[in-house]
Amino acid sequence: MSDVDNTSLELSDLINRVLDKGAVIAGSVTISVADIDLVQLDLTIVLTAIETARAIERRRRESAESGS
Amino acid sequence: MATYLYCIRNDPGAVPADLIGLDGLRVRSIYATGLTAWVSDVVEVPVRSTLERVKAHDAVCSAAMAAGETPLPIRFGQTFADDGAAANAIAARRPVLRERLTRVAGCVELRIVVSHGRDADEPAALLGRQPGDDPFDQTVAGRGTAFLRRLAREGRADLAREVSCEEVRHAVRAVAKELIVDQQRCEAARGVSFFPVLVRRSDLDTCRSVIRMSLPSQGIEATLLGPFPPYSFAGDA
Repeated sequence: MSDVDNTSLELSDLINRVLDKGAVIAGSVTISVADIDLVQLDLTIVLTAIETARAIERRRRESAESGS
Repeated sequence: MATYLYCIRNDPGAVPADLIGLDGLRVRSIYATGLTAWVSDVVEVPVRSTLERVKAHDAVCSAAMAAGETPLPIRFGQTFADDGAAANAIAARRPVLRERLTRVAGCVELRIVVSHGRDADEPAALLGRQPGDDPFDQTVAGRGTAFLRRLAREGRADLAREVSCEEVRHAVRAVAKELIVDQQRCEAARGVSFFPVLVRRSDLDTCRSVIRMSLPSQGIEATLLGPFPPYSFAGDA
């Protein structure tokens, strides 16, 4: 088991943790794909956060379409 | 100016005077019916998730953890019209927040990351598969390994990764059962699988040592990250 010296791994984990986890008080958290400039990072690992944001964006669009 | 929320504590202790949050704004505490919240002003609402802001959010939650009591970290991006609105929202959820604070009291989060490399089509490479391996040969590899190889052979890479990570999680639980207060199931996404465990602060060094010493002897390669504020055990996962 290696010690933590992989910047990409640390960044990926940081984003997974802070964007996807933690208590929600306000009831909704607004993060859209366009809001995430983290995509610009040169990570060797694709970020889970991007997947989450896309899923949120998809649900939002579907909700908006079904409501219109 | 809106109020941005970082974490919630039982302890009404003061925020370090030099603690800076998002966009360089000073962090302060507000009282919310028996609970204390660490907040700062925020100019832009909704808050765009830049890397610097994500880092700043985590730094404040980590500072709260370093200040003594384990805080309940809040998910990134939650803003309120003002301090009063934030306090009211927290007060409205006070029972469940107190319960969660009790659950994580005295604990920190460790995360075990199982990296599968960049080749999404070869999850079984992690397991040392050789050309010509019989995926059902259980004399050399265990049944779990054979199952993973079969999944990989069938092109079910994502499922193979998830199963592989679950095997690591069970291995960790086996060697550190007495040291782990709680744990979550594995999550997997494109080359990275991980699972979080909740550990008492007093057991942190022992737990890290046990995991680091035990897994390599079982042929498991993983990276241990943390300690962190208990994001994964704060609810609303």
